[in-house]
Amino acid sequence: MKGLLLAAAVLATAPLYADYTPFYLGLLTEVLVFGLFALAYDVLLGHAGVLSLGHSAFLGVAAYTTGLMLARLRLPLELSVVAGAIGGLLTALLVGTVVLRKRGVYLAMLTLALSQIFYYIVLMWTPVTGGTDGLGNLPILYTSWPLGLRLSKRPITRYYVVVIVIFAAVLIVRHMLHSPLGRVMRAVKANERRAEACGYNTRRVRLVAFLISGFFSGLAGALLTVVLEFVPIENIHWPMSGTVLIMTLFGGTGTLLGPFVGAGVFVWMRDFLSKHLEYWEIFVGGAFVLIVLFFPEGIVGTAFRLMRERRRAPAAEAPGPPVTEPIATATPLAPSNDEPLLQTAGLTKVFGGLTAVNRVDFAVRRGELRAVIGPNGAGKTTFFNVLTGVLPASHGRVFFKGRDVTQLPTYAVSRLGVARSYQITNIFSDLSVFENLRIAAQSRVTHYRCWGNAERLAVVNARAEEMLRLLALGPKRDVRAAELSHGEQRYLEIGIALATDPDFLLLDEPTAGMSPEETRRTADFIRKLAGRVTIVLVEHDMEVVMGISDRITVLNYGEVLAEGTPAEIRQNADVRRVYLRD
Amino acid sequence: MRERGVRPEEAAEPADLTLFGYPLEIWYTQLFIGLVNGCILILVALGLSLVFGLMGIINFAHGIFYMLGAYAGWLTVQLTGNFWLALLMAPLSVGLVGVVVERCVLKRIYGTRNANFAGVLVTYGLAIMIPDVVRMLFGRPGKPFAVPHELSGSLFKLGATEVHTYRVFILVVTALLLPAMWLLLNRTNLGLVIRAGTSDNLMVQLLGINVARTWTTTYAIGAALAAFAGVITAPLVAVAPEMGALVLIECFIVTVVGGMGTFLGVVAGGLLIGETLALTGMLYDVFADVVIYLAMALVLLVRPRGLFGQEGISEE
Amino acid sequence: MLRVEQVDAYYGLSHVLQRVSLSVAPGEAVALLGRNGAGKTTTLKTIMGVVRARRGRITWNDDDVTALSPYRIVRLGIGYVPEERRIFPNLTVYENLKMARLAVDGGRHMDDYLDRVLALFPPLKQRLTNKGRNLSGGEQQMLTMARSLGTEPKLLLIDEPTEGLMPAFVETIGETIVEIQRQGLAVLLVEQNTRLALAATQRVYFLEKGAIKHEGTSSELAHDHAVRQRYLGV
Repeated sequence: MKGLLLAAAVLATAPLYADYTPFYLGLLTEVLVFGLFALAYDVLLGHAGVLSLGHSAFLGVAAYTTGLMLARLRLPLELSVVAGAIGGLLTALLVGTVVLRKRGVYLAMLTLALSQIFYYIVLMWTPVTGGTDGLGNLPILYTSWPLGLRLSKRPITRYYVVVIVIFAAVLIVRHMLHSPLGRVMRAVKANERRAEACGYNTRRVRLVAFLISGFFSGLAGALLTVVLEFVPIENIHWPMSGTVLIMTLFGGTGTLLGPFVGAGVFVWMRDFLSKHLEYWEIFVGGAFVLIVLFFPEGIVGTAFRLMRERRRAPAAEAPGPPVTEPIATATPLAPSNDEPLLQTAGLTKVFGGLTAVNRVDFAVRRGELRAVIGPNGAGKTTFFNVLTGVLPASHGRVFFKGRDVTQLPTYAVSRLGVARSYQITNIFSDLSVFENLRIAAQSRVTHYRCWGNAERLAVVNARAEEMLRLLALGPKRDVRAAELSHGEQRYLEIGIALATDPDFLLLDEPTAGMSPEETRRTADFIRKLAGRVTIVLVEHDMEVVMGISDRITVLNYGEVLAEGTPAEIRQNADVRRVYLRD
Repeated sequence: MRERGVRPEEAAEPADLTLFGYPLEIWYTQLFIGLVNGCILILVALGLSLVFGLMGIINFAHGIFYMLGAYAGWLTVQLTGNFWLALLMAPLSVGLVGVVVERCVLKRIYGTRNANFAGVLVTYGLAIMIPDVVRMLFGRPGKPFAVPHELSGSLFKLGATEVHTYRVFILVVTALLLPAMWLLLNRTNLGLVIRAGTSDNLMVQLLGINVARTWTTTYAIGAALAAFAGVITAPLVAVAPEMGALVLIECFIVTVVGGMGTFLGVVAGGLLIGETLALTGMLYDVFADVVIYLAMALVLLVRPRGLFGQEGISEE
Repeated sequence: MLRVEQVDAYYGLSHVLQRVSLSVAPGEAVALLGRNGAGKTTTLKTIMGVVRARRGRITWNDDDVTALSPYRIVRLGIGYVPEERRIFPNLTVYENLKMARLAVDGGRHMDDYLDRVLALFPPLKQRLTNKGRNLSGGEQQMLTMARSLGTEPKLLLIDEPTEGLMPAFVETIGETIVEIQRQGLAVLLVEQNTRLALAATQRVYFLEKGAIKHEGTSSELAHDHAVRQRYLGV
């Protein structure tokens, strides 16, 4: 907040010390517009973790839309700018829908290729767009509506108009990044698979990030048309996508200030460096390579880190109180009716030549604590993956609450009330412990709300705080999850699953890697949970399994070998022979 | 890099048989031009696809190698006047550049967090930087590159249009190179390691093989192939610093349509895109360029892994 | 011979190995036992240079190999059979085997090697031209073991060879390990099947929470139910 006020003050008074020459003021205006473009770009890259090389299309389509509205349709200025931003949004919708079928660098390559479509349309449609000459002669640029003002041609007027619009846009972006949606975007960036298991439709979340980015890129494109009074074809050509990438990484991703600093540095290079160095792009490209290799946080990111380190250095981290055992508060479930909560019929999963899960019929009643055991490689984890929609079943059906969920994607299964923990710790390592739990709890309240502060969702906070208490992770509330000890990460792993308030909880080897003492505490914890939620547990430790389960299913080579109470399983000759081996 | 097709009004005599208002002969000519364009796309895209399959990096510097190949060829012809030497020098010298890029730049990002992203970014940086280096050394305007006199003229007439010897030459060279590349991948130890590394790099190392060297070699082979494509295309177009960018984007389309990381996919994708460009150029010149991008979007929507892509290989 | 001295290793930020020390003498078969997550696989990966040791020393025939890359360690004579088997799915069985010979002789003399491994794993003979992805679990296990022998190791690290295999195969794998040792190789075996592990080895280490908690001879341990109960919890 302090930073924003400072920025407002600097921008408001800038004309006083920018020599008041139209040239510098124009340049400053341009920096701000490019800064907005880079900020919009960073919404996608820094916050949702999607690398796009097609942003020239968003900026360009908007610039041309605004230009055409003004030049050909003679619409008022405000309307043209809004139309431009919407043009950016629609372009992002088109591009995003196609490219989000892929991920990572492949997606980046596709954005570049698709953005070329828009370039060629502009290039070929010369009678309307002016082709390579660009679009000039924007006659009524200075007539405003509904204000009805004739805007002065003076750069200073334009400067203040642009500053006000951009400042408002930055405030809106900032607000969105703190909104529930903004948090979901960060979670998707931090660990897409886990975000999906928490019930978020991650592809759609990334599409929404595309739309936000497209809209504000569009706004920047529209403003660029206003500032330049001209639409050069370069605005929609692919090097513009490179420019915004360079500006963003120069400044540093993940901050509000970074994109503006990056835009400033880039414009400085383009306008001043190029006076002394004809081949200035060598310098830009080289600097870019060096930044990527050695300062991936960019100028602002690196500066912030150095400042943080200096501040933190004297106050060494006070060790928190030791983590005590998790406690569970029992609010017993309603007595179970006889219909199974989860049921599978002939469930089969084949990988190449290997049948990992073979015609499994499995039913769990509400309120039960079921253990699934079997030798390594018996197909237990694969069974979980098929149950939760991570892997498609080869044959057979899965029913949850009487509904066929076999074909449902992971997030939809989660929303029905199924949660799971993972054998290999799968948490949002870059987020704080509290945020790990909060984001999981949030999935039951809102996914896409982009207004309001995510930290003021009372229900979600209550749920997350309850989880912290339950897991006794309170002292580690604000620690990055990656910095927890192994045992604490294992608790958090269960906590994320529980925070989604499931009816049905799958625990995949919760005690893996724990000491006997931790194992015992975890077993107690699970036993207490069993009062509140139906649990299926995969576990190697036979003491745990025998001690806490209501019933046990034994898998061997992907098939059900036996099922019964712990006592029955202990007596079962087959089980003793293939599994207990003692 | 490519040429537009012949328009109907340019054809000398009207022929009897027509299809969509174009004489069949013009169709033949266009198909032939498309084939030659496709060959060049295949040669460039092959390296892109190999590097992606093995190293997981989308190499944005690949277009640069194509451009550098054309310049290396031009320089060789300027100095010696020998086109055949240029055909040899371009892939050799640019292959060496590939080694330097891989050893000095890419090597630093292997094993780091988000190495694949960083690979895109640094090669993108190189793609911005190197054309300006070339402009600095050789000037901004493009350089003319004459068809060598042994290969000038036309080989025979296909109805009204002449079939240029040089185009046939490109076709023949590609027809020789592609099986050679196939043999390299499928019948040599290097090819064995590349194919194994494409599925599991760590396991290759755990069999005592120095994968780092294979990566450098593969990157250099990709660069050399692109450079070779650059030098043989040079007589058809002017040699210019900007020539790498467009071919790179078209190769992206080739690999997306055919399926990234597969030999067959690159060949099929290259021919398909080459022909599409040539035929749409004839039928509806104005939006010819847009058609291939739309085709790519269509393939992605219907079959995201590409025509010959395997499940999983192109996902991440 | 292999000597691991006071090695610490981390995966990410959690502490995985703590002061692990162990040794394998030439021709000796040693088992490394412990619960899931105790650090057995990490120990093998650290020896192979796949996971970096943050402290301590690993020596092989008195040469320090702690900081070497995996491929150099393999060339010095330590072979590795990974838990996930890691067959190259897009290569044929023959090509998978040839991969192992490239660092030795460039795959020029495949015949002797093939004779040797096909004698150990006869079912592979019928499958030489099949792609790796089309093998059954048992065949994949045989192939990965046969392949690791191709690098001509003096010591073979074998990680969970019987995981997910049919009982008939489990016995075969056990016998093969004994046979491999009989041919003069040292073996360091990680195995869930305690009975098999004790039968195939001479010495045992027990790992718990990333630290060696107990060591002894296999015959001794076969009768010591209490120790097994304590560290394996079966």
